[in-house]
Amino acid sequence: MEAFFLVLQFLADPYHLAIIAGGTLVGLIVGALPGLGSVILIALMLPFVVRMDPTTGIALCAIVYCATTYGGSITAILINTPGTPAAAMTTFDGFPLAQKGEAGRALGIATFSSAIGGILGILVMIVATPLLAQVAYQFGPAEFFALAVFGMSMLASISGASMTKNFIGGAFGILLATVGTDLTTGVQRFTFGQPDLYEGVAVVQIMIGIFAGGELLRQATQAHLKRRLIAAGVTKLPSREDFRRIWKTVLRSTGIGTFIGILPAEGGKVAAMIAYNEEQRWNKKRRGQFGKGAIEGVAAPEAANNAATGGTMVPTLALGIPGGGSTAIILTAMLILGLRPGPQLFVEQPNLLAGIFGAMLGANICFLVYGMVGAKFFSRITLVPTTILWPCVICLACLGAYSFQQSMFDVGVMVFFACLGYFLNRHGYAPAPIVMGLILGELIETSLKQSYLIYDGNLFAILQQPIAAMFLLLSMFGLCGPLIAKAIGAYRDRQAAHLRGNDE
Amino acid sequence: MFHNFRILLTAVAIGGVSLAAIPAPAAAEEFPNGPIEVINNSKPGGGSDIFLRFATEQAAEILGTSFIHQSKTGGVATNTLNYVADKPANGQTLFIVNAGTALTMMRGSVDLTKDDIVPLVRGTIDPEFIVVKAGRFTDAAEFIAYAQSNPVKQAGTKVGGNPHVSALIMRDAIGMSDQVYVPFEKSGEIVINIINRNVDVALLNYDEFISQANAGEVEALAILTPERSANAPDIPTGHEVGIPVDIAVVRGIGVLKGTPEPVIKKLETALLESMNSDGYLEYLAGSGQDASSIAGREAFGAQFEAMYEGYQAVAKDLLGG
Repeated sequence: MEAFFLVLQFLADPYHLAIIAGGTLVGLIVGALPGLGSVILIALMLPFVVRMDPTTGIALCAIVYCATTYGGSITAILINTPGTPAAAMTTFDGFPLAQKGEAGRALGIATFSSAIGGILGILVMIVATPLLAQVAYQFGPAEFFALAVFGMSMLASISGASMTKNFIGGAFGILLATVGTDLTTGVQRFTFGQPDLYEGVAVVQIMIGIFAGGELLRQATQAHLKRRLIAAGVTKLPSREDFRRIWKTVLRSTGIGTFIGILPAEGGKVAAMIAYNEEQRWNKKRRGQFGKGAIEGVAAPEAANNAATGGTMVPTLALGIPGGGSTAIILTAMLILGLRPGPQLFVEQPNLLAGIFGAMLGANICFLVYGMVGAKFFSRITLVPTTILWPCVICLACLGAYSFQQSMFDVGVMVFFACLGYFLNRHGYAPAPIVMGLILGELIETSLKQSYLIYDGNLFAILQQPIAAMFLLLSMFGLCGPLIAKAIGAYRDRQAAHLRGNDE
Repeated sequence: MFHNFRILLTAVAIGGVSLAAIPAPAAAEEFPNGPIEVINNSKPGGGSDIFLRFATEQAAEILGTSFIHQSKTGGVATNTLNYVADKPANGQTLFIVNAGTALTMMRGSVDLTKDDIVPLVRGTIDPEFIVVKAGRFTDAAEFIAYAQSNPVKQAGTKVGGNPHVSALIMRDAIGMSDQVYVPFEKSGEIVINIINRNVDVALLNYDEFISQANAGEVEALAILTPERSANAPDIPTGHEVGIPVDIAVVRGIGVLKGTPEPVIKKLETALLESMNSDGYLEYLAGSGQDASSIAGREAFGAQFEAMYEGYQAVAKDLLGG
């Protein structure tokens, strides 16, 4: 209870409120720009942050982290370009909604889900950080392998395209993930002697290419078609009915997001992926609509990736082990400011923690306001004529691809995947399975090889790890569930027919 | 009138002298000519990027110019060094000098050799600690005895990178019977896997394990430096316990050879002054270091040479297969 009072006390200071309002705005804009994200922004802020008083400095990092994660969804919905990798899954249903003339509704859903996901994630964190941190200890390579397999088990049905095409797309994504120097052997794979490929192809470039570039080329072929602009509905925000429809989705995805955020190595990207998968698995009512503009498809990844921001702070603060790139820099800032994260932090620095939690809560509430007000204006972007909008988008896409590592090679990669994205789209291959293969494929391969080394080549040892075994079992049910259900159904029908036959 | 004329004459004379003076020591006078580029081989936000930003922060004011930080990632330091190689040797381009630089030059994937660069200043020397699960071994001697007769799983980062080289140096120093190197992507994962006993040991920097050491989950058996650290005076050095090697994450700034001496001198002075500021020292303190990490051309040059040779011994083994 005392913790909550300290949080309120932090939020009562006008100086802190100004920092929250300003930091959230900057974070929102940087997050929306493709290629730029919280890692770069926090790195740029670092020299200034370490001059501030510790609580305000770290709070500012946390604010920016929350706001960029949300900001990524804006461009994902409006121009099919995820502002941050964690927002890639938001394009799957967000952009189709915008194309239908419901940009305002999609933005509203994203804002609402992000804020609720974020706020609930932080509340969980305030109550149970030291307890939750224990989960992180349980996750080694075997557990990560099983978790990634569990995520992969939804590959066949992730997009509306045919199952075969989903598998082909997934396999292609996994192949892409193998490019670069292999972590466990040091062998270079598919690098063609190019130093730029030694570290692999950056996910950001591929996503900008496939999503934004592919869409640009598709629109270019249709430039002669007069697009009907349904101006009336564009700025319309979600209805009360919409919110009622997604609240279960938001709760489910918040749980998934917080859990995955807590794991020591994975953040918003994987959280959004798994949440989107699970939404498809559980939401039977909308099964056929995912990928075509289901609001649940926007709500799930957004709630999850924002909940994951709270989640990743758990091991950072409680164990001194960063959950992702942004938290790694936040940890650096804390160390420079003379703060030692770890279990004792909760006893020694209650004000600092209250400041961080308060700032994150404030940021989520703040972007809820910005987002809901802004959605009406942002959504008008979809009304800009295609011939003006898409050339601007391609500039942004190039800039985003370049700025991530300041490399022209990356711009080339982006253009290559733009062309590829166009052809894939024409032949009915959805980007979702490719992205899934790319994100989860690397995790599967790395963790499998690590397990191989740890268990002296005996991979069956993975099954002896309780958490890993549980996830593998769940994936089995996920894969075989429909088959078993079908078989049971057929058996019952036969029995029924048999009984009827006896009656006659 | 006459008085004014004299002033005028003097002014002309001074003007003439200063005009005439420009061509000769121009290098140092005109330097810096516009912003100075700083090239690092980590992604924006990575360890080397952050180091360079802190190290050059005050130097911008001292030299009256700005620093532009660029990341040229790819092939450890291949892209960084290739980029630098195309630049004129005039001090307007600085670059990261660390283990990755040495390793990349050794591989021969770039045209630059260690004789083409001047390691200018050293900014960090972050010692490695031998870290194990708390309570598993009573002391370093017990660990050494264990490692000499049992297979040991050692965690680190990417195979073939400099942390792997460090692990091999440690293996040879201890005389391990069988070292299985298990690579992870982040140091956080390494700590977790030591705690849940998936791996036995790892080389980690102070800031990577100290939180968990304070929490009683892991402990450091030795620090691989010549002297004990002021931060952790109870931890013996490798030399004391029979692992006579020094392993540390060394980061510095370099400039191309052929840069005029006055420019090098000016840069060295400015960077040293910049790094001896409060801001940079606080940055060092964050990873448990102090001002002794900072060093000039002479000390850093010698150290880079030694590092290069030390790596060459094991790297042959590593690069060959």
